[in-house]
Amino acid sequence: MRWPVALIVGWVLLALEPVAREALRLGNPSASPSLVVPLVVFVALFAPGVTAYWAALILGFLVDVTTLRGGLSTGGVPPMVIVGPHVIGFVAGAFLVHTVRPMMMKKNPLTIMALSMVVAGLVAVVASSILGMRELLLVGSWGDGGEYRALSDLAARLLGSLYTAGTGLVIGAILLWLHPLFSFHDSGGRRAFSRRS
Amino acid sequence: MPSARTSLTLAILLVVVLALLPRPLITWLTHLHGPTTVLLAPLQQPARSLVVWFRGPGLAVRADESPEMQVLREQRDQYALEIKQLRQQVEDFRVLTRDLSRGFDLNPSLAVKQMTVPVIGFGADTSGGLLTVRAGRRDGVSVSNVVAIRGVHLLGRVVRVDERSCSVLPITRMSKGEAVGGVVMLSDETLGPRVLLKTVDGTSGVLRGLVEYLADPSGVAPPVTITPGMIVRLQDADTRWPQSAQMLIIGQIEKTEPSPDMPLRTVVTVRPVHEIERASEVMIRIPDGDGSPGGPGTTTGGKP
Repeated sequence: MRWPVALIVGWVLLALEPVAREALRLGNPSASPSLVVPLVVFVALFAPGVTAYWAALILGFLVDVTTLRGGLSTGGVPPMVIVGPHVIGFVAGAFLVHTVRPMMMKKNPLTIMALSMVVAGLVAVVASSILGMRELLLVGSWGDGGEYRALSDLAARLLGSLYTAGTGLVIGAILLWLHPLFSFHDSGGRRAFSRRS
Repeated sequence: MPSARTSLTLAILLVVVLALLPRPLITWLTHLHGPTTVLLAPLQQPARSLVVWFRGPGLAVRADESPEMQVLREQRDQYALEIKQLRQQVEDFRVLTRDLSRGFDLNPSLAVKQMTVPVIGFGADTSGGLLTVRAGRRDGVSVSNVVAIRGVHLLGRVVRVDERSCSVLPITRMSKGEAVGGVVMLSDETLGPRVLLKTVDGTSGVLRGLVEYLADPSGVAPPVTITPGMIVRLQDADTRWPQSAQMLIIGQIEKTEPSPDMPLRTVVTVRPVHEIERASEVMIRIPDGDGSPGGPGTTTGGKP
């Protein structure tokens, strides 16, 4: 895989992610779609395993680093970055896609759509679990100083994962169109039920 | 030299450990937020402005608006579509100037600098709840500075400052225990009863609170009636809001209902006039006299 291409596409999608989330937000608890998850799925569908996991790790790290948590009370502890919820979620998602990809029609946007929904759901469960565990285990000065609403957050994330199917279709179609630029080594000639690389 | 697979395994293990470490041991990671945000801002900020332009400024629907006012609003919107770009720019500057002067008029005894800055947006994961704007330490912004939309509508306050950006806690995303004191305006000039507002939840974009029971001072007239459409302004000098924030507009009363516990008292739901999520530009109110330098777009006002 050509890393510069993946990084540039990742940069564009990461920059647009919060804007798209706010613009397309629906309902209460508010569900919003992800733009980065389809890229994780796309890379995991075509790249070798280790490359796909590294890409998922880097993208998850960037999502975590751009999100400040806690600090939701004036004069309280300042907000902070928690690295982990999206890194672990994205790597788990990449592992899932890499595992099932021999059974998938890889060059079909509908595949990316369906897998984006599943992976976003997995990320939702992983991220909410990690943040919930932190809330339960770390108290006092060790805590994050926020007020994590685990159930409403999980509900919003799971609804968002359904919504991510829509962005998965659009982003998937664009990424498939850009597919030659990525120069995946094992992208050609893979048929359904062939052996994994 | 470890192989790519070994490095990956070690990296994942490191992340798992980091994810569960207590706060004091991972605060250093927060230093990565500023540079990453600045790296994404060149694309994020124009995209946000484009979305805001496409969807409109996000004014709350006014249930009590008269038909004449609605007609006027429609005419204004039609007119706005027809005017040319240059004329629109002139109008924007005029509105900006008016808002700036109105902002200073709120607290004429206080000298504040108002700096207009673009909004970068919420983080990639919106559950974070903090809004990042493109002004930081080098522009003179510091923690606890008050942030407003168009000079008079309270958005929140700065809770973290980086060199080139800062994070703002919107009033609608405060934690459950946090409250903001306000006063219901019975008319443009008449202050009414006080109200202590809290967030309903982190994403609803509204505040709720119990209004103080305020009988007529003469004892003859019935207690003041709170109705939807009334404006609530910040009046919270007792707590952590600085003087420069007092009397900024918190929002408009959207709904009133009797308190379940105390039927004589009213519970109000207040929605900010401008949707915080759709703000593309905000004003940071920096108390003057702290020696902090002003950045581009800084204006000074208040007491000369």
